[in-house]
Amino acid sequence: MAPLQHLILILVAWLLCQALPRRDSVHVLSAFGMVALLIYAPVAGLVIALTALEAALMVVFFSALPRKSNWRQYGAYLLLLNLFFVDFHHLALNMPVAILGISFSAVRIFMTAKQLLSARKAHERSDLYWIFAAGFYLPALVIGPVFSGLDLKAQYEKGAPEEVVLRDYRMLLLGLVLAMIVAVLMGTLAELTTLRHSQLAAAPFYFLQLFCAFWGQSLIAEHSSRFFGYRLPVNFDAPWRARTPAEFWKRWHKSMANFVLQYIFLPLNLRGLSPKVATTGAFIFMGLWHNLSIGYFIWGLGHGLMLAFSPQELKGRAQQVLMPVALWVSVIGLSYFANYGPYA
Amino acid sequence: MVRLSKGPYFIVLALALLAFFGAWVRTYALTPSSACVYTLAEQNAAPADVLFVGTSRMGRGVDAGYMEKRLAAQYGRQVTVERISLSTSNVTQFRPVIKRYVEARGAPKLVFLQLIYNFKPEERRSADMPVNPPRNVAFAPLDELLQIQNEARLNDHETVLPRSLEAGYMSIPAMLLAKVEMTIVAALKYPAHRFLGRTTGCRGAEMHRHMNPTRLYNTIDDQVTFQPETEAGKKTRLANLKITQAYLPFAPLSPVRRFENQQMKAMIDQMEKGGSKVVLAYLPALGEREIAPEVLNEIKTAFPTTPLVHPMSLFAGEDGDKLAVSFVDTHHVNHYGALQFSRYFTARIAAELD
Repeated sequence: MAPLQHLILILVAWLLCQALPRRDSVHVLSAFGMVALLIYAPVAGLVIALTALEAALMVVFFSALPRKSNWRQYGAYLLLLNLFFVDFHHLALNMPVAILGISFSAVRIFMTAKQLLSARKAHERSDLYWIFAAGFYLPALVIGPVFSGLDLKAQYEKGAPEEVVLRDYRMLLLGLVLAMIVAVLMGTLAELTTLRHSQLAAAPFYFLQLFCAFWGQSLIAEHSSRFFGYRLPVNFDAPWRARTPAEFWKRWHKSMANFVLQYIFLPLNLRGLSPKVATTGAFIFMGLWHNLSIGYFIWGLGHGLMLAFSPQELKGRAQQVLMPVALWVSVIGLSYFANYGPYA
Repeated sequence: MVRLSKGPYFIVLALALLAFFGAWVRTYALTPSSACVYTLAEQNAAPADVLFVGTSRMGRGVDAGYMEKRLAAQYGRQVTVERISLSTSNVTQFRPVIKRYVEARGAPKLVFLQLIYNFKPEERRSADMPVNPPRNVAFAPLDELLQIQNEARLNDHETVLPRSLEAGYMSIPAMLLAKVEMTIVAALKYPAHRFLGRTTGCRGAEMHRHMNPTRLYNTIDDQVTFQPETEAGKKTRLANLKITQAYLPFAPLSPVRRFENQQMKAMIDQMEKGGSKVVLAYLPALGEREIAPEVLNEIKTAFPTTPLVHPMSLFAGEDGDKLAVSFVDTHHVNHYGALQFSRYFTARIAAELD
């Protein structure tokens, strides 16, 4: 779904919401998410609905088990197997289908189910609704961010959502410009550089194209959601300022990085793996979440190793100069390798 | 004072105004060459005697103006020649244009229809490649878009699921949203294009100059001579040659997007019903001096009643060596190559019209 088409659908939903109490707009947005999937990717919509249903059933059955039981603690991870649909659906269906939103929605559904199962207070049946709301939330459908449906619930219950501020409009405009103009321009520069020199020489432009499209769409999601009074996590926080791998992952695709650290790294670490191995494992998962390919396995391994073994603080002039250079060469190089390399 | 929470009303209004403006100025989000093709097809004029239809290879290699002059001078024939060329290899993009041409202007006497190449088939296997490319979505009405989709079979999977679920098909609302988006983007681009002095639409002579990145069309003459290769040119040619070998020519039994063959047949049927004689044309790439017999057989099998012409005979001997390197890149000939191809097709026109 192109950025402007996404925004048009969000605005149509907003017009409909004007007749409703503002906090109820979350229901309209989830319903519109379903409609959007029906229009653009009906099979993906069905997969997301089945994943949400599976999550709801897991919550119902596993919550009856003792809190310390393995099924209750880790059973929800089975939901992440649904991510394989993205890579293997053509084998199951014998034809390729549009897979819009599955990767992000499945993670949001998982986070909601996991939080419901981990909560100290017993959940109510009505809480299961937030699994579906997280899966189909229209602004976050295309490119995230990832969050738990319980975050939406908390905002819903809090009521009296904040007013939209001028910055939201500025950021929305910036998002459109980035996704529709700058990303296209970078793509053109990448093609020209490939034609005149080589694809490898065009790697920085390919990276910038990806970054602008991703950041732009994230801004559209985050700030259009504020029209409805709902705040979403921020995906990008000036990643160009990052000087170490640790800082990079606090600024780049933050919502996904937080998910990986909280739901993959921590359990691995708590089960006895050393922090370095757990970090590497968590980022290998993140790589394979992008795409089940050798290229993205190496992408995840590379980022995991960088994060695990690089210094947290830069000491001395040499480190302060060399580390940022090494970081960005690695980030761009791994992105190129994963998307355009021999194992892409 | 306007409350900021009501701001989305202004965004809706701004987008609606942009959509209306884009529709009013009849500008397009796509390159003007796309608009030129449709303007040429829809104009209020008799059909050309001869129409060339193909990709950028044909656009670069066939000079309609030169052929008209040569037909008059050498063969004593007053024949009108037009060319419709659209970049990228996709047969479906020609369906609405040809339909428009035949309905608005009538069928030409003779049509040279290029066999489209499967450009980088390994990349064009992409799951979400649309049946209708953006040009169709921008210019063709919904019923034509749906007709093309309904006829299309994508990857020929033997599946019990409805093909409308397959990646590449668009629902009607998705098509409408894409059309609205294109109009808005076109309106946004319009002032910038005007400011930069670029063409925003297609009028007059522009119609015949589409796909004209090197100002080649209606400009070549018999004085164009072969320019020996520079060392840099040779290096580029050899580098490109490796890429050429990785391409698969359009083959009727190609595993990639077989439905495009069916689209070709539909176009041929439409033109023949209008009274055209259709001839298939195979245009070579850099270094491609012959067509494999099995490819010729496959073409013959797929299109048994439609004749095929190709300028491979030009590649024999010393002149062929010159022509084989007269390319600006892997796919497109330079002035000298265009002169040779245009001469070849001029002779074919004379032969076919006799």
